[in-house]
Amino acid sequence: MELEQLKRKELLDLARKESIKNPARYRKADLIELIVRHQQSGESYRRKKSQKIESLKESSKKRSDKAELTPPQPIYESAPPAGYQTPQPQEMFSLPYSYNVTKIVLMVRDPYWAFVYWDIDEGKYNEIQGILQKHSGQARVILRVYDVTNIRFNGSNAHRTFDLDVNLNAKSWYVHFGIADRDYMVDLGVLDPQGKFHLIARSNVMRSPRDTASDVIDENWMVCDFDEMYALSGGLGIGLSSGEIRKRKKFLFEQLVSSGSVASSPGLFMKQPVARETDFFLEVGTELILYGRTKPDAHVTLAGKPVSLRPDGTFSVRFHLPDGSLHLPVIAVSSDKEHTRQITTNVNKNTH
Amino acid sequence: MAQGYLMLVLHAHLPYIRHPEHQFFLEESWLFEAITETYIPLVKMMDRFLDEKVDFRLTMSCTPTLAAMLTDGLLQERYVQHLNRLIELSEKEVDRTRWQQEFNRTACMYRKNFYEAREVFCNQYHRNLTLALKKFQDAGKLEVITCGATHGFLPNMETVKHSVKGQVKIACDAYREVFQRSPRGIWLPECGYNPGDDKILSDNGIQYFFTDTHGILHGTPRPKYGVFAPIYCPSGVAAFARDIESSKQVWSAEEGYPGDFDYREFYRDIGYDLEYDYIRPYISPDGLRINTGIKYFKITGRSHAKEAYDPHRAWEKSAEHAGNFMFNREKQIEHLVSKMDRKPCIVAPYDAELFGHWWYEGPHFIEHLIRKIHYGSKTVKMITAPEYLREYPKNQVLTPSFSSWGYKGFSEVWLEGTNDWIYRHLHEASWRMRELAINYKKPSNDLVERALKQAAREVVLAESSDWAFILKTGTVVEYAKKRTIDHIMRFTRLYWDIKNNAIDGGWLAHIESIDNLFPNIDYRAYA
Repeated sequence: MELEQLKRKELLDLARKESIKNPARYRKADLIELIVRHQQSGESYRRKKSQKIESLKESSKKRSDKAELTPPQPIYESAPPAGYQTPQPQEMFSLPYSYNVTKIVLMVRDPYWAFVYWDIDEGKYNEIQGILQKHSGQARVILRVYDVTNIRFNGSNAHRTFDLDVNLNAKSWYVHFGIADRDYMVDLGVLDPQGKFHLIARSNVMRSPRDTASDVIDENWMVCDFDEMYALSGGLGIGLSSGEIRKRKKFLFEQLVSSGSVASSPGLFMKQPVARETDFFLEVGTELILYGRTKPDAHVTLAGKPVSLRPDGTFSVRFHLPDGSLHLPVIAVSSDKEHTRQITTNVNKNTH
Repeated sequence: MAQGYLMLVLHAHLPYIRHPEHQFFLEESWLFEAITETYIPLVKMMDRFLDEKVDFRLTMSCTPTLAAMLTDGLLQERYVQHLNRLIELSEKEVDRTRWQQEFNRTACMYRKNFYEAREVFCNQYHRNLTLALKKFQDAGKLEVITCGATHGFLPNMETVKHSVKGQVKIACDAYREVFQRSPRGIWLPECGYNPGDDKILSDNGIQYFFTDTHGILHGTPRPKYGVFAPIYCPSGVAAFARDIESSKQVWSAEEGYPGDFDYREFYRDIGYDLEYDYIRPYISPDGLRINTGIKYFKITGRSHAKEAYDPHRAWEKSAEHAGNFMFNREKQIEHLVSKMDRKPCIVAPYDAELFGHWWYEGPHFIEHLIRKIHYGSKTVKMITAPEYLREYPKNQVLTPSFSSWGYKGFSEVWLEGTNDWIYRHLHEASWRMRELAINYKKPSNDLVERALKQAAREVVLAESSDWAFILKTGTVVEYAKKRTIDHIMRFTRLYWDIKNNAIDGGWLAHIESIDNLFPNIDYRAYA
């Protein structure tokens, strides 16, 4: 897989061949991921069903292995980057997979990102499967995001709307809204090829936090030079106009207000010293999540090692991803040993 | 007449960890370490101030879970045993190092500290350190504020506001039981402020809370005094925001005081350094080497070579740093005074456990600072929030911004790949608890009432933000997961048992004894 070596134009051509819509809106890394998924499954990745992300096998505690899974960095174009799927720990077998209610909940993460989780009751789930099957794989499960700031939303009067393709069984997603201080709402639904949207659930309204000082001035509490007061309070430095502030806000804001150096204490139980000075450093790790589904009584192995299945036949394995080539054959054998299926994933990773 | 004020806030918190079912439980030692290295030194310091008539003002949050542990008989007893072991070890250490002067002086220091700790804990305060805090508060020197009942991260409860109500009401109730008065202020867990939550604070009689810098700085309309004066939320509750400059001087990995080479090195503990058979009785019973609290080296430098710790030199250094800190606050205030038409208030909040546990000399630093300010400063004076509000009752009204003091300033720490899975379960439990609280306002018998109270306990324990934090930071992940799952599962079973009228008395009694937080919990707070 030499996708990384291709130029962007070649990637775009390849993406179009794979029927990926609007490939130009994606960054190179996301484009490559989309192409890989399409190529692997042999069918549109959107049509891939029942592939849920769960994890976890606790790996070693070395810091380099603890790659925190963060969503892709927000970008300021109009379309959001590819969705991020949330891992859930394997040990959660004792906690219910579903509460058998249909709902979707939107939670603030920061001025630009939100977390959404959903649940679907059995009846609704079957109904959705029916719709998906009826359109023989051409229907898409999406999150439809609305900017509903200061309006009485009637279903079609949002300031701005965009769709995100999601995996129904992922049951959660990180959504990049990109703009602070707005009201957002999200619908989960199925978009059929005719463009009809079948609503599954509608979320609460959520307000994204501010990322800058307010423009509103209280006449009774005016100060001659707010910029200076802002800077003295830890703001972004004297002399920066609000326009410049807006441009540099993400970088400076994080640096100043929330850099690890002034944020909350690690607390008593974090085994890390408070002021351990080392030279400036960066550590990056990667992990891989491999997930799938088969009959609950089948026997599954990954590269020869047995993989435990959940009661519903799903599985997921999460592990540290080293540099180099990884050959990951997943083999499922039916309980009566009559049938075998194999799907192999090959991963190349290099870091520099 | 001072020109400005310094409000030093120490946030003392530990999650509720109590395992009567085990003889020894490693994570309980967080409490013991904090008591020995942070709380007792601060209590001793405040007692010295009272004796010497040094006027001081300090604000301290004592979270409900911490207060519950400090007043719990089992944990008190286990702490005494822990301390006795430390005393025994320190005696051996003094003996072992008697020919090495550079270590012996430090060994003697630990021995003295442990003996004094036992004296303070057992004899002076009868094993209950909250009595000390109450004493200093009643004397008008210490302002003890409360916190979320189990330190739940309130912004993640936006869609389950009844949980916010629960966290606040249960906290205030618990505070009243320990301190015999209502709390005036609250430390929002992680400074997690979600606009509108102040109404719930107001409903519980809270007068003020704290936010991170951008909470007020990015408030609407813009704050005239930046972070250097409090504001009123529309609900009437006052908010104070953190000053970054004073935070940085202590916290910053590059410039902060705790990294000074003369200070004690955290990672050279004899629990790891000394010979196994010698140290065996003082580490984990299963043979795992753990920190004992006895360390002999100073930071020395960036490399691994460490020199012997010199307590006196470190003590002098902390005095130097305190002087520097005060000097900087004075300069800061002098500059602000020229920009403001009132006395600025510099709010400097820190985790209490930083002082003493992570930064061993921290309590010395605070003591030096308070003395220097008391004896030597014309510019800065220490203050508590109610006093500042009394002096300046008229403040700007604005709505603070959604904010927290966690990394990156919002919710990310408690809402990311490692821990986002818990929220669907926490929220569902919260809705179900609300259902119980509404439908069973008047429980039909004692057993049902006990079950309802225990159900509330399980929910509130599950809501601790500590679990999500641990999941993210990756320290004792299995423990945090287990706590989350255990509490949710116990709650769920109680929920169905109550609804099906099938409460198992034996099982209920069992979990009542394990999860025994807040004996008088008001489950109706979730309504």
